Amino acid sequence: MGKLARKVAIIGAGMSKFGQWYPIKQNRDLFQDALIEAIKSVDKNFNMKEVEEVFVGNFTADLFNHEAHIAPLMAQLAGLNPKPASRFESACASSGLALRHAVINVASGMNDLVMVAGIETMTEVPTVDVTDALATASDTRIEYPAGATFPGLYAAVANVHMHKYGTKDTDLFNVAIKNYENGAENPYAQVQMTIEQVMMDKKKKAEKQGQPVPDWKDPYEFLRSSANPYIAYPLRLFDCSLVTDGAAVVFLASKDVAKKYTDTPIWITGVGQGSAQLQLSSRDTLESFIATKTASSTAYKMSGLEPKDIQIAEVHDCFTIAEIVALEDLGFYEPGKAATAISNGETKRNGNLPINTSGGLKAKGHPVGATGVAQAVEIFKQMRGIAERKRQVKFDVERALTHNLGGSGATCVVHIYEK
Amino acid sequence: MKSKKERMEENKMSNTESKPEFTIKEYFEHLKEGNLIGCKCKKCNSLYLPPRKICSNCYSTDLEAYNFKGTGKLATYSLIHVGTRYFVLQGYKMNKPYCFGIVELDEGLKIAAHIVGPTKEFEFDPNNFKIGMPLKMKILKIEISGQEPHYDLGFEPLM
Repeated sequence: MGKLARKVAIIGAGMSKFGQWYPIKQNRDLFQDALIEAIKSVDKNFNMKEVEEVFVGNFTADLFNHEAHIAPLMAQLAGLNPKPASRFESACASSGLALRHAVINVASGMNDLVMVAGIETMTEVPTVDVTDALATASDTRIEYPAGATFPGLYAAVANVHMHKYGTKDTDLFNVAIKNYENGAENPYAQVQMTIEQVMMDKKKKAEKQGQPVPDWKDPYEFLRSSANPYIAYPLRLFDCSLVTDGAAVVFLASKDVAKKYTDTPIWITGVGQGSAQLQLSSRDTLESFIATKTASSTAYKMSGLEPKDIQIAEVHDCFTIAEIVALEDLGFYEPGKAATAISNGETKRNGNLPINTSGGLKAKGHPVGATGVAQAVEIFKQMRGIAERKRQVKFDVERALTHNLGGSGATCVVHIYEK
Repeated sequence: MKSKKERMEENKMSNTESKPEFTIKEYFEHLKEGNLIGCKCKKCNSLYLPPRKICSNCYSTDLEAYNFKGTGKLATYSLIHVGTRYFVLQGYKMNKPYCFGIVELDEGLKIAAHIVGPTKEFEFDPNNFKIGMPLKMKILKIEISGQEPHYDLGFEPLM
């Protein structure tokens, strides 16, 4: 058990530009942007009409856009009706979940070629409604009356991590600084500036407006200032991922047909999913996520790989603390040791374990239901050596991982990729 | 084949059995009265809050109501500056945060709650909160204009 019946590969992958697009672009427009990119990425012989089934990850177009039944619409736009089209929901892990089910579908022999999409348009509603919609990924009967928000839940995790391991605000800042550095090299990212550039911009703006110019001497001073206010203490604005609109698409092919489309398929050799009690409060440990540990150990076992074999990863940095916890839960570092590794530069693009070369949810953006597939898009590019600008890692990537977390860690999906 | 009337009679019978129904609605009704009622599995002694109908440890359906003392300590917290609509309607905002907390009850279970102090200002200062600080339950009556009052689970420092 715990095996894929036959090999499955990504043969094409693309994403829309992430950003605040509403009303210029909406779910259907962003999906088509991603679809066009994905079609372009397939090396040869691609015929859309050969796609047999559609898997769509989306958290809550219901609450964000007054749309719910969106999978048949995406099949329609791809010219694939009347073939099966289904929507998958698991909060911020929605499209990681869609990807997992698509892999299982192809591995089972049901289909040879399928499309997986992730879509979310979050900026159609005001911030308080975004906060409320996201809160539905927690236990709204119990946690909502207590005041839980997503930044608040992860702030509660951060507090325990800080209390137990001595994690500092500087450790959180290091994650943000690194991910912004990567986002600056990603033409699809929502924010394509380093934090230093953001800081300099603010200084220039103050000067232009004749206001006192802040005397921040480095990004740390800037991040510790009132220009970076608390959203949920101890998490500040730059600790939180962005509110984003975007879509991503990948095509999966079975071992039997993959070589028809490309000479370099990216094989998905490990798939894992885990769950945890919906309420953060009901879990034994608050500074780590059991769903991540479960999902990753299943995926490692399936692929026959260990954490030390993974060369790059896209992890779910919905908040800076979440990246630190993920690196520990995925087994890359001992509990309490990830922050030091990050501060030593190990997870930078030129480090020995580049993490979130895309900019992560922090800088690339986090259209929640699109994130899982967008992570796979970045891995596809890095493994093929085609990541744009300066963010392509310098070594040949043969083994990679994506980690997609839903809610306050109640769902986790992990995929392992090999060349 | 039973008639619809017969089936309805049967349902009625099973709903009026002497055993209390452990529903989420019941939990909130008890909370309103100031009681933190969960349940305890009579077979394996597992505790649940809110109560359950079936023990997820041993799958026994023989559970009894259990009255939690309502004392514990702060397991973790966050001062929330960008709050939910419900808390914004209670007057909290960017520079007036509220404290979301997870409380570890003396009985060992943890539960999410709004942590309050003697004044609203108490919640604005993170220095007023420490992991491990002892707390006691305080049911919060929340009045928002145009709405029925809500009764929420709160905790306050045990002075």
